[in-house]
Amino acid sequence: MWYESGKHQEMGITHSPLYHLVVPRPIAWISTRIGTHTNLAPMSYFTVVRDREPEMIAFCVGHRGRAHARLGWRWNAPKDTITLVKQTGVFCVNFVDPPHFEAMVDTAKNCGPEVSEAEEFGIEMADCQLINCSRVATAPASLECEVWDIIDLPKTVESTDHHLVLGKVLAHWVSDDIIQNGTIHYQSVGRLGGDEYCTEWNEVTRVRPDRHKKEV
Amino acid sequence: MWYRNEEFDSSGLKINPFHTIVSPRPIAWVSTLSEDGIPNLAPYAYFNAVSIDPDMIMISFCNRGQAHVEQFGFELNAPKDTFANISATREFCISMPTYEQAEQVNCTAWNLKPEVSEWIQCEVEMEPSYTIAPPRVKGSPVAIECVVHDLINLPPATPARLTTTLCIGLIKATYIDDQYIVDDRLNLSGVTTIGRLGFVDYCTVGDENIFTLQRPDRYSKRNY
Repeated sequence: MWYESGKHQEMGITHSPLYHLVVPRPIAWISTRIGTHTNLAPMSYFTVVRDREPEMIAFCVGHRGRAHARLGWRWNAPKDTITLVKQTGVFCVNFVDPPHFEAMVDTAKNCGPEVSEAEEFGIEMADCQLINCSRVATAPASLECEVWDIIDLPKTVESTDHHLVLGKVLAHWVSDDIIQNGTIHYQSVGRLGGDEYCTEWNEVTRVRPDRHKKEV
Repeated sequence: MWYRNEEFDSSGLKINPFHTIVSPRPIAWVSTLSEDGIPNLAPYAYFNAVSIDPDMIMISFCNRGQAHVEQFGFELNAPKDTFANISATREFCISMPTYEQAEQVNCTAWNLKPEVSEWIQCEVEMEPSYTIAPPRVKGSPVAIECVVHDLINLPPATPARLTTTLCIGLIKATYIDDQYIVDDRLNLSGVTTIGRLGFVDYCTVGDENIFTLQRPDRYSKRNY
């Protein structure tokens, strides 16, 4: 089967399967803070975009769409994460291993802006060092980030606003539990389509054909 | 452990764990054509979807560093073939790699000269795309045909450092192998896909390591 973008429904496919196709996606469990209020939410349109100084990451967040409107939200209302990122200019990306999996999914709940997901679900937070923000205290790793740019993505008449946030990584938190012989090993949780996630039970190692190892 | 990025050297870690932390990453097996029509194929893992309606993806390319200069004789900060081709022709096709193709995916990471095609070197078969000139990989369950929407230069810390460019791509068309359409939905059950971890590690994503959890508010994009 082949179809032009936006015409999947003519092929009988109800929803664009893009996020079933781009898998497995890393999960950015993003904490933002204003005053004493902490917001925590998972995003999986997320990747490294620059792995040399300055290290940078990008994540995309869309405004609330039709499914949210059915739950009573205003269509195209911004999510708390993008509102707070714009307001404060900083955010922390926390990472998820199997012990944090359920808590991470809990924080995907569409709570009102007055609700702190960290408090609601009893997730222990700690202060970041360089930015005025909180991090998940027990996460295997966290990145302290500041906004470098926020890019508006193109949209159609029917689609909501989407922002691509480009962030500079200022500092790394790495749990001592995942450091072995100067390198890190942790079991990350990845995002698939629908309600599906994966963990990397089966690691496979491939040495590059030219035996060039990056950055060693 | 906590360290400022500029203080990494005193952290006691041997290798910067940044790309191990951000995992598992999806793999874009990117096919391009040079201006002269030479086909190129290479895997990139700084890649993700960014939006639906219109369908868009992002993929990041870093120019060649000191290791490439010393080991392979490339010029410092030279663009990799994939990025050079995308800059020139504005088109690229991303095929989804499966576990069965892992050796071939890894083979196409070879730092070959621009005139050598990974398709031939790694014995990968191609199929024509529908809306763009670069072909897709035969045997991949899914491929997306993309054009450049924007190229964003990400800032080097000093002029001497390497250039990285983030490509935002607009998807023109999607190919799905018909056997993976079940009840009018994409169903990749039975396909083992692969993801990128840190260093030389990959992971597999198959039926055995997928688990499902309903969102707390039962809002499901699947039932849109």
